[in-house]
Amino acid sequence: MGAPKINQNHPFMNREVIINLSNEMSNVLKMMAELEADFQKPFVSLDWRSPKEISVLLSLDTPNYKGTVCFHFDKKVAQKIIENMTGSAVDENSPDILDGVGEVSNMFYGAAKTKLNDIGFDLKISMPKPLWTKDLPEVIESHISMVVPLQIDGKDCFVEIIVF
Amino acid sequence: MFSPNTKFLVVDDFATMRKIVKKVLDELGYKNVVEAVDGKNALDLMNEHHSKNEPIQFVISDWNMPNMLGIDLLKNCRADDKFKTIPFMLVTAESEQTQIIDAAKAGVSEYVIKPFNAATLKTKIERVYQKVSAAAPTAKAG
Repeated sequence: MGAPKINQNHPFMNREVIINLSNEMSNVLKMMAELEADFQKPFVSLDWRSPKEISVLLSLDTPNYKGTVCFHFDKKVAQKIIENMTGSAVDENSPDILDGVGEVSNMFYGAAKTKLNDIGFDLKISMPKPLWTKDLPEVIESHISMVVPLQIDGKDCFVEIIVF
Repeated sequence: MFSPNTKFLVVDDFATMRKIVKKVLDELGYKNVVEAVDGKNALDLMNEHHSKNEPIQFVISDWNMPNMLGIDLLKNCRADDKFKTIPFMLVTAESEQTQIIDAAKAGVSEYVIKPFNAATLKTKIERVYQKVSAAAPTAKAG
Protein backbone atom coordinates (compact mmCIF):
# COMPACT_ATOMS: atom_id res chain seq x y z
CA MET A 1 0.00 0.00 0.00
CA GLY A 2 1.41 3.42 -0.99
CA ALA A 3 1.28 6.70 0.85
CA PRO A 4 -2.28 7.81 1.69
CA LYS A 5 -3.94 9.96 -0.93
CA ILE A 6 -4.92 13.40 0.14
CA ASN A 7 -7.11 15.85 -1.70
CA GLN A 8 -4.56 18.38 -2.96
CA ASN A 9 -7.38 20.91 -3.40
CA HIS A 10 -8.37 20.77 0.25
CA PRO A 11 -7.85 24.33 1.56
CA PHE A 12 -6.11 23.14 4.73
CA MET A 13 -3.47 21.35 2.64
CA ASN A 14 -2.55 24.71 1.12
CA ARG A 15 1.10 25.64 1.67
CA GLU A 16 -0.08 29.01 3.01
CA VAL A 17 -1.57 27.21 6.02
CA ILE A 18 1.74 25.53 6.84
CA ILE A 19 3.83 28.64 6.14
CA ASN A 20 1.65 30.88 8.29
CA LEU A 21 1.42 28.40 11.16
CA SER A 22 5.20 27.89 11.08
CA ASN A 23 5.97 31.61 10.91
CA GLU A 24 3.61 32.50 13.73
CA MET A 25 4.89 29.65 15.91
CA SER A 26 8.41 30.98 15.42
CA ASN A 27 7.36 34.55 16.25
CA VAL A 28 5.43 33.59 19.38
CA LEU A 29 8.16 31.28 20.70
CA LYS A 30 10.80 33.93 20.11
CA MET A 31 8.89 36.80 21.69
CA MET A 32 7.25 35.02 24.60
CA ALA A 33 9.80 32.31 25.45
CA GLU A 34 13.05 33.34 23.75
CA LEU A 35 13.19 29.99 21.92
CA GLU A 36 13.91 29.18 18.28
CA ALA A 37 11.91 26.69 16.20
CA ASP A 38 13.58 24.75 13.40
CA PHE A 39 10.98 23.37 10.94
CA GLN A 40 11.53 20.27 8.81
CA LYS A 41 9.87 18.83 5.72
CA PRO A 42 6.17 17.98 6.16
CA PHE A 43 4.72 14.55 5.35
CA VAL A 44 1.25 13.12 4.86
CA SER A 45 0.14 10.17 6.94
CA LEU A 46 -2.87 8.05 7.86
CA ASP A 47 -3.16 6.90 11.47
CA TRP A 48 -0.04 8.84 12.52
CA ARG A 49 0.37 8.94 16.28
CA SER A 50 2.40 11.52 18.08
CA PRO A 51 5.32 10.11 20.07
CA LYS A 52 5.27 13.20 22.29
CA GLU A 53 3.59 13.51 25.66
CA ILE A 54 1.48 16.66 25.30
CA SER A 55 -1.01 17.75 22.61
CA VAL A 56 -3.18 20.81 22.09
CA LEU A 57 -6.19 20.62 19.77
CA LEU A 58 -7.79 23.58 18.03
CA SER A 59 -10.63 23.29 15.55
CA LEU A 60 -9.79 24.47 12.06
CA ASP A 61 -13.24 25.34 10.76
CA THR A 62 -14.49 27.43 7.88
CA PRO A 63 -18.12 27.55 6.70
CA ASN A 64 -17.36 24.77 4.15
CA TYR A 65 -14.51 22.71 5.62
CA LYS A 66 -13.71 21.14 8.96
CA GLY A 67 -10.40 20.09 10.40
CA THR A 68 -8.21 20.22 13.46
CA VAL A 69 -4.77 21.58 14.09
CA CYS A 70 -2.85 19.73 16.76
CA PHE A 71 0.36 20.97 18.35
CA HIS A 72 2.37 18.11 19.88
CA PHE A 73 4.99 19.04 22.47
CA ASP A 74 7.84 17.19 24.09
CA LYS A 75 7.27 17.46 27.86
CA LYS A 76 10.69 19.01 28.46
CA VAL A 77 10.06 21.59 25.72
CA ALA A 78 6.67 22.45 27.22
CA GLN A 79 8.34 22.92 30.60
CA LYS A 80 11.02 25.17 29.08
CA ILE A 81 8.45 27.29 27.20
CA ILE A 82 6.39 27.90 30.32
CA GLU A 83 9.36 28.59 32.56
CA ASN A 84 10.72 31.10 30.04
CA MET A 85 7.31 32.74 29.60
CA THR A 86 6.47 33.10 33.28
CA GLY A 87 9.94 33.40 34.78
CA SER A 88 9.15 30.75 37.39
CA ALA A 89 9.85 27.02 37.74
CA VAL A 90 7.16 24.48 36.88
CA ASP A 91 7.08 20.71 37.38
CA GLU A 92 7.00 18.78 34.08
CA ASN A 93 4.08 16.64 35.31
CA SER A 94 2.05 19.54 36.69
CA PRO A 95 -1.32 20.52 35.19
CA ASP A 96 0.28 23.97 34.82
CA ILE A 97 2.17 22.49 31.86
CA LEU A 98 -1.11 21.82 30.03
CA ASP A 99 -2.42 25.28 30.91
CA GLY A 100 0.73 26.94 29.57
CA VAL A 101 0.92 25.06 26.28
CA GLY A 102 -2.81 25.68 25.80
CA GLU A 103 -2.19 29.41 26.02
CA VAL A 104 0.88 29.40 23.79
CA SER A 105 -0.99 27.28 21.18
CA ASN A 106 -3.85 29.76 21.34
CA MET A 107 -1.32 32.43 20.35
CA PHE A 108 0.04 30.28 17.48
CA TYR A 109 -3.45 29.73 16.13
CA GLY A 110 -4.75 33.27 16.70
CA ALA A 111 -1.81 34.87 14.90
CA ALA A 112 -1.91 32.40 11.98
CA LYS A 113 -5.71 32.69 11.73
CA THR A 114 -5.43 36.45 11.31
CA LYS A 115 -2.90 36.07 8.48
CA LEU A 116 -4.89 33.31 6.77
CA ASN A 117 -8.17 35.21 6.99
CA ASP A 118 -6.43 38.19 5.41
CA ILE A 119 -5.81 36.03 2.32
CA GLY A 120 -9.34 34.65 2.07
CA PHE A 121 -9.67 31.81 4.57
CA ASP A 122 -12.67 32.24 6.82
CA LEU A 123 -11.42 30.46 9.93
CA LYS A 124 -13.54 30.70 13.02
CA ILE A 125 -12.47 31.45 16.58
CA SER A 126 -11.42 28.28 18.44
CA MET A 127 -10.82 27.32 22.07
CA PRO A 128 -7.59 25.36 22.65
CA LYS A 129 -7.95 21.94 24.30
CA PRO A 130 -4.65 20.91 25.91
CA LEU A 131 -4.34 17.29 27.01
CA TRP A 132 -1.88 14.48 27.59
CA THR A 133 -1.36 12.77 24.22
CA LYS A 134 -2.42 9.41 25.68
CA ASP A 135 -5.87 10.96 26.19
CA LEU A 136 -6.30 12.10 22.57
CA PRO A 137 -9.70 11.10 21.18
CA GLU A 138 -9.57 8.12 18.80
CA VAL A 139 -11.23 10.16 16.05
CA ILE A 140 -8.17 12.41 15.85
CA GLU A 141 -5.86 9.45 15.28
CA SER A 142 -7.83 7.82 12.47
CA HIS A 143 -7.81 10.54 9.82
CA ILE A 144 -5.41 11.66 7.16
CA SER A 145 -3.13 14.35 8.41
CA MET A 146 -0.24 16.49 7.30
CA VAL A 147 2.54 16.43 9.88
CA VAL A 148 5.19 19.13 10.17
CA PRO A 149 8.13 18.06 12.36
CA LEU A 150 10.12 20.74 14.12
CA GLN A 151 12.77 21.05 16.77
CA ILE A 152 12.52 23.39 19.72
CA ASP A 153 15.44 23.58 22.14
CA GLY A 154 16.96 20.54 20.38
CA LYS A 155 13.90 18.31 20.92
CA ASP A 156 11.29 17.04 18.46
CA CYS A 157 7.81 18.52 18.38
CA PHE A 158 5.11 18.33 15.70
CA VAL A 159 2.32 20.35 14.11
CA GLU A 160 -0.43 18.12 12.71
CA ILE A 161 -3.18 19.34 10.39
CA ILE A 162 -6.04 16.83 10.32
CA VAL A 163 -8.77 17.05 7.70
CA PHE A 164 -12.24 15.53 8.07
CA MET B 1 0.97 57.07 35.12
CA PHE B 2 -1.73 55.49 37.25
CA SER B 3 -1.09 55.36 40.99
CA PRO B 4 0.85 52.25 42.12
CA ASN B 5 -2.18 51.42 44.28
CA THR B 6 -4.49 51.12 41.27
CA LYS B 7 -6.49 47.91 41.53
CA PHE B 8 -6.21 45.81 38.36
CA LEU B 9 -8.44 42.90 37.38
CA VAL B 10 -6.71 40.38 35.08
CA VAL B 11 -9.20 38.10 33.29
CA ASP B 12 -8.02 35.00 31.42
CA ASP B 13 -9.07 31.35 31.42
CA PHE B 14 -5.39 30.32 31.26
CA ALA B 15 -3.53 30.71 34.55
CA THR B 16 -0.24 31.02 32.66
CA MET B 17 -1.36 34.18 30.88
CA ARG B 18 -2.71 35.66 34.12
CA LYS B 19 0.70 34.96 35.65
CA ILE B 20 2.48 36.65 32.71
CA VAL B 21 0.30 39.78 32.87
CA LYS B 22 0.67 39.93 36.67
CA LYS B 23 4.45 39.63 36.32
CA VAL B 24 4.53 42.53 33.85
CA LEU B 25 2.26 44.64 36.09
CA ASP B 26 4.54 43.84 39.02
CA GLU B 27 7.56 44.99 37.00
CA LEU B 28 5.70 48.23 36.29
CA GLY B 29 5.09 48.73 40.02
CA TYR B 30 1.45 47.60 40.20
CA LYS B 31 1.03 45.09 43.02
CA ASN B 32 -2.74 45.34 43.60
CA VAL B 33 -4.01 42.70 41.18
CA VAL B 34 -7.15 40.57 41.33
CA GLU B 35 -7.64 37.58 38.98
CA ALA B 36 -10.73 36.14 37.26
CA VAL B 37 -11.01 33.01 35.11
CA ASP B 38 -13.65 34.27 32.66
CA GLY B 39 -16.01 37.16 31.95
CA LYS B 40 -18.74 35.95 34.28
CA ASN B 41 -16.31 35.50 37.16
CA ALA B 42 -14.93 38.98 36.40
CA LEU B 43 -18.35 40.63 36.59
CA ASP B 44 -19.06 38.89 39.90
CA LEU B 45 -15.73 40.09 41.31
CA MET B 46 -16.27 43.63 40.02
CA ASN B 47 -19.66 43.82 41.71
CA GLU B 48 -18.27 42.29 44.90
CA HIS B 49 -15.39 44.78 45.09
CA HIS B 50 -17.71 47.66 44.23
CA SER B 51 -20.13 46.73 47.01
CA LYS B 52 -17.21 46.74 49.48
CA ASN B 53 -16.32 50.23 48.26
CA GLU B 54 -12.97 48.92 47.00
CA PRO B 55 -13.69 49.06 43.28
CA ILE B 56 -11.65 47.51 40.50
CA GLN B 57 -10.01 50.43 38.65
CA PHE B 58 -8.57 48.83 35.52
CA VAL B 59 -9.59 45.66 33.64
CA ILE B 60 -7.16 43.67 31.47
CA SER B 61 -9.11 40.89 29.78
CA ASP B 62 -8.51 38.11 27.30
CA TRP B 63 -11.00 37.94 24.38
CA ASN B 64 -11.38 34.21 23.81
CA MET B 65 -12.76 32.62 26.99
CA PRO B 66 -15.49 30.12 27.87
CA ASN B 67 -18.73 31.24 29.60
CA MET B 68 -18.37 34.90 28.62
CA LEU B 69 -16.05 36.34 25.97
CA GLY B 70 -13.92 39.37 26.77
CA ILE B 71 -15.89 41.49 24.29
CA ASP B 72 -19.13 40.58 26.10
CA LEU B 73 -17.56 41.45 29.44
CA LEU B 74 -16.64 44.83 27.95
CA LYS B 75 -20.20 45.39 26.66
CA ASN B 76 -21.61 44.45 30.06
CA CYS B 77 -19.29 46.96 31.73
CA ARG B 78 -20.18 49.77 29.34
CA ALA B 79 -23.90 49.09 29.90
CA ASP B 80 -23.55 49.33 33.67
CA ASP B 81 -23.37 52.79 35.27
CA LYS B 82 -20.96 51.46 37.90
CA PHE B 83 -18.37 50.35 35.33
CA LYS B 84 -19.08 52.29 32.16
CA THR B 85 -15.97 54.49 32.41
CA ILE B 86 -13.55 51.90 33.82
CA PRO B 87 -10.33 51.59 31.78
CA PHE B 88 -10.67 48.32 29.86
CA MET B 89 -7.89 46.67 27.86
CA LEU B 90 -8.43 43.60 25.67
CA VAL B 91 -5.40 41.30 25.35
CA THR B 92 -5.91 38.84 22.55
CA ALA B 93 -4.37 36.68 19.87
CA GLU B 94 -7.16 37.88 17.56
CA SER B 95 -6.00 40.84 15.50
CA GLU B 96 -8.44 40.87 12.60
CA GLN B 97 -9.68 44.28 11.55
CA THR B 98 -13.35 43.39 12.14
CA GLN B 99 -12.63 42.35 15.71
CA ILE B 100 -10.64 45.48 16.44
CA ILE B 101 -13.53 47.55 15.08
CA ASP B 102 -16.03 45.58 17.21
CA ALA B 103 -13.90 46.23 20.27
CA ALA B 104 -13.62 49.95 19.47
CA LYS B 105 -17.38 50.21 18.97
CA ALA B 106 -17.93 48.46 22.31
CA GLY B 107 -15.76 51.08 24.02
CA VAL B 108 -12.43 49.36 24.58
CA SER B 109 -9.73 51.64 26.00
CA GLU B 110 -6.80 49.78 24.39
CA TYR B 111 -6.19 46.56 22.48
CA VAL B 112 -3.04 44.43 22.97
CA ILE B 113 -2.22 41.69 20.48
CA LYS B 114 -0.47 38.54 21.71
CA PRO B 115 2.41 37.83 21.64
CA PHE B 116 3.48 40.96 23.48
CA ASN B 117 6.30 42.08 25.74
CA ALA B 118 6.45 44.20 28.89
CA ALA B 119 7.28 47.36 26.92
CA THR B 120 4.14 46.98 24.80
CA LEU B 121 1.89 46.54 27.81
CA LYS B 122 3.51 49.53 29.53
CA THR B 123 2.96 51.71 26.46
CA LYS B 124 -0.69 50.68 26.22
CA ILE B 125 -1.30 51.39 29.93
CA GLU B 126 0.32 54.82 29.48
CA ARG B 127 -1.99 55.50 26.52
CA VAL B 128 -5.02 54.57 28.60
CA TYR B 129 -3.80 56.92 31.31
CA GLN B 130 -3.52 59.74 28.77
CA LYS B 131 -7.08 59.08 27.58
CA VAL B 132 -8.43 58.95 31.15
CA SER B 133 -6.57 62.16 32.04
CA ALA B 134 -7.84 63.92 28.93
CA ALA B 135 -11.43 62.88 29.62
CA ALA B 136 -11.37 63.83 33.30
CA PRO B 137 -8.26 65.88 34.10
CA THR B 138 -9.14 66.29 37.76
CA ALA B 139 -10.20 62.70 38.48
CA LYS B 140 -7.23 60.39 38.13
CA ALA B 141 -7.61 56.69 38.86
CA GLY B 142 -5.94 55.31 41.98
